[in-house]
Amino acid sequence: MRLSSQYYARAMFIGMLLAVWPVWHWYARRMTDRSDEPWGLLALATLVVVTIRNGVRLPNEEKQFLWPAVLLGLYVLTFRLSTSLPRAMLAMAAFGLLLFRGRTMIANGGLLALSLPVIATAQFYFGYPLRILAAEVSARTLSALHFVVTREGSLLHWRGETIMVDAPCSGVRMLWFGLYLAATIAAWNKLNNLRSALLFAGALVLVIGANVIRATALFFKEAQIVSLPEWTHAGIGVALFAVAALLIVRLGKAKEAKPCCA
Amino acid sequence: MKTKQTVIALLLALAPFTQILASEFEVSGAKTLSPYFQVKSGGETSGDAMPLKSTEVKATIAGVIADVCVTQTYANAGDKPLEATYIFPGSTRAAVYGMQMTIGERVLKAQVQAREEARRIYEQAKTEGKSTSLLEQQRPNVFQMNVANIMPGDTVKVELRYTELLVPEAGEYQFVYPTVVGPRYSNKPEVGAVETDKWIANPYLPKGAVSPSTFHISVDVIAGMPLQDLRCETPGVTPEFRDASHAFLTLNGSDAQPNNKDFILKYRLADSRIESGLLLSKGEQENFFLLTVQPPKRSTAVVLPPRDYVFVVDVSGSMRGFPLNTAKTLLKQLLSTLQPNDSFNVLLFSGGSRMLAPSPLVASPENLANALQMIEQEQGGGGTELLPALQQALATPNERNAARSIVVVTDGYVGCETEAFDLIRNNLNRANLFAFGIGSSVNRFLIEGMARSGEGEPFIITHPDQAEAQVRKFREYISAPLLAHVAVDFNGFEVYDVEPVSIPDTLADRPTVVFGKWKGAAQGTITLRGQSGGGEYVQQFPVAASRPLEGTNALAYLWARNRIATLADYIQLERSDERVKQVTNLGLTYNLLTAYTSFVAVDDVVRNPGGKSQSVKQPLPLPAGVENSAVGGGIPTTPEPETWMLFAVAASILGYRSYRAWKSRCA
Repeated sequence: MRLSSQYYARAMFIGMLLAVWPVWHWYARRMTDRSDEPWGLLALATLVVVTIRNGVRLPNEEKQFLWPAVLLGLYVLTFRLSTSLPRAMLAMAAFGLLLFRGRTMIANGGLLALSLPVIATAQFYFGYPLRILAAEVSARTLSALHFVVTREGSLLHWRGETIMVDAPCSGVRMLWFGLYLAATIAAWNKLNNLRSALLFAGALVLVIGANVIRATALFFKEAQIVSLPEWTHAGIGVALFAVAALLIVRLGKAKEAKPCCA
Repeated sequence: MKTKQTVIALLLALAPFTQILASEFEVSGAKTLSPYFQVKSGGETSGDAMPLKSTEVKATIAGVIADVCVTQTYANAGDKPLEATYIFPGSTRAAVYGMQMTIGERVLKAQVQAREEARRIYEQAKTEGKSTSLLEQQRPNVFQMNVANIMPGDTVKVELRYTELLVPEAGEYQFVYPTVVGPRYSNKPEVGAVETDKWIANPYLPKGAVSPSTFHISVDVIAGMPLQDLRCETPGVTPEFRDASHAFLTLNGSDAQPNNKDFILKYRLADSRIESGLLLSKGEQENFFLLTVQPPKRSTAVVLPPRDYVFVVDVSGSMRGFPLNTAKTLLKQLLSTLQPNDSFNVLLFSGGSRMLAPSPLVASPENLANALQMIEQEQGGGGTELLPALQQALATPNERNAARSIVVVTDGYVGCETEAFDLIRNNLNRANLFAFGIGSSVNRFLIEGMARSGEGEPFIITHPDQAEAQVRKFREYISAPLLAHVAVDFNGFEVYDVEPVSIPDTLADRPTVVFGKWKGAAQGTITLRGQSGGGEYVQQFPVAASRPLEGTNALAYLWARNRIATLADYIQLERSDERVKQVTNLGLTYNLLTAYTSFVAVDDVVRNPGGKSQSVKQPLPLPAGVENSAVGGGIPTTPEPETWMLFAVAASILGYRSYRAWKSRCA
């Protein structure tokens, strides 16, 4: 007796889950070993809530496994050559394609991607470029305001004073939360793939912009041009992030003006 | 279509930024010499990170000469052989004439050698596994002790001796023992730095951290005349009078950290007299004399000519807190003494400089109020770019052609002392310079050197209460020299190698001091002449009535130290191999530590075969009153908010949005 296509598909799905057990093992370890901030669990929990609310279509046909199978094939072929995070990304991409196929793939896939422990890695690869960007735009803005500021790497020089846009200033954490907000809105409102991608892009620009403005504003405090209490340092950052977050929500609302069908 | 246009617009907006990012992977800027905070490393290190266990100082003051013995005890509580490096201060007038190293029962006397040769001997002994110590001068008031191959469980004592002449001011004698070298700002790159600057990159303990190395000092004062007004600024000092002219002082342990502030002892002799006259000493090959002449009484000037002042105030990170508050008090005092016909300007400097006005201002109440407001706003931060500040002060236009005085207020924590002296000397025709040193462990080499180069006077202020008295002295000094056109004649007394060659005008109420060598019979007369406010001033000293100084080479050391300081000034003006050789020869002949001669001691026993050891720089305590911002690493940054704050914002927005959606559904 031949199993129906649906049961066969479900069996393959479970098989896939078991096949990538190294990823689950690594994930559990990363979330508890303090090598990264475990905010990925927040994204995962949000994804679970959204999935329960919106419903999920488990695979029911063999042909739905084509592209996931390609990704898993890549996972297997590169297993020895790659490190844990790329492997996890391949596995997550395969499951994303399988579970969230269709027009909301990008929205839900975004939450799935953010559930991975990516903050430390993002800081490593993107931290310095983001700092340079913040420093360069700040230097140009301040120069336009008649402060003769020069940039050297991620240092800002003014009248012999030096302000450093160092690693904790890169804005990677702000970026993560901005994208998380965008992904949650997109997934919750079942935005289609194009609109979700635009919302992510908009969030990227808004949060990076907020970080640049933050670095510029804090220059005045750190160079002692204005005398402000210590709490304003975090306060300015929180306020600017809140503005960016509200704009992301507004952008998500605009996208939602034409609600799509799942 | 509209969506595609939006996408294209976004891509175009991002394009310029990618160019910036693409061009930005060159790391530029060399690392500069900079002090840093000691970081306790966790894990498996088994070396002893703080090998200096104690410093014991015994000073004997006999008349005007202090003889000091400093014993540093190093021990290795770890399980690896160590090489310890310790940076410590000394008096700017100290003549270091001896050193010995004790390991267990063995006492090894150090030899003075030319600097490079001493270093070579030390490095060779270290490589061979022998215990060895090397004492080098990095500045006239900063010394570096290296002790190599301290084996686990070892205790090594290094004892050094120096002598110093105490010159009273306004009848008050002062003995200063500095205990810590403050963190120095330097913008010189680490790569290619000269040997005498590398010590600046030294570890410090954070403010409030008590150094585990103990400090003890005892001072025996044998004045020869009854003592009065004996006092010590260091807390926890108990004087014990053996008789009217003999006092013994020691620390009583009540100060938890006596080794982060200068030990300052002040006293007067009865009726505010000073030890003056002629001292003679006879040696085997050379004889020396020391003449101390009491200055005349200061006469009050009837009319003070108008002057122009430029106040150059250090507002760098090391001045934050107590030193800057003291500087503000001082500046208020200085500004309050300006005459209506004086002019002034204020220059504040740290990493950069800013002036009150582009040219001198009349000392009107409004201008003085603006100046006070300018300084009041300062909190202290950034580097200490002294040279550009001095250049700017010297370049300020002097439209009225009034006699100009530059007044520098700083803690002196810079590494560019000699460059500052050069700059000041090269601009003597534009202004003379007075220097106020602020803090508990001021860099006196800089303060005294700037004043000497600028033909002014140095002032040290360790507490705001002292500001008023120091400013009063400053006003007196600046009104007129106490003694000018000073000349000394030796009639019937054969002298040579007299120091100083020409005696500068005396501004401060300080005796004139003349050193020299003599030969033949101790006879004849020495006559000092000069012009004072009251007319011609003449003092005569019959040589036969002089006091012999026996049983000590102190005068020889002090004479050589004086000659070396004069040659060092010339070397700064124009370096010549001949003068360097003269200093080296003086150091070798008189067994003195100089910039070109060092002390080295070697134990011939090989105790560490292979010579491998862990190098440790002894971390120093921050001077009392100095904030952590004085140490490199205080560069301001702009970190983003904590993640929990970002989460709170995101959660609030999502929560509020959900609430609104739920409400609209219910409506």
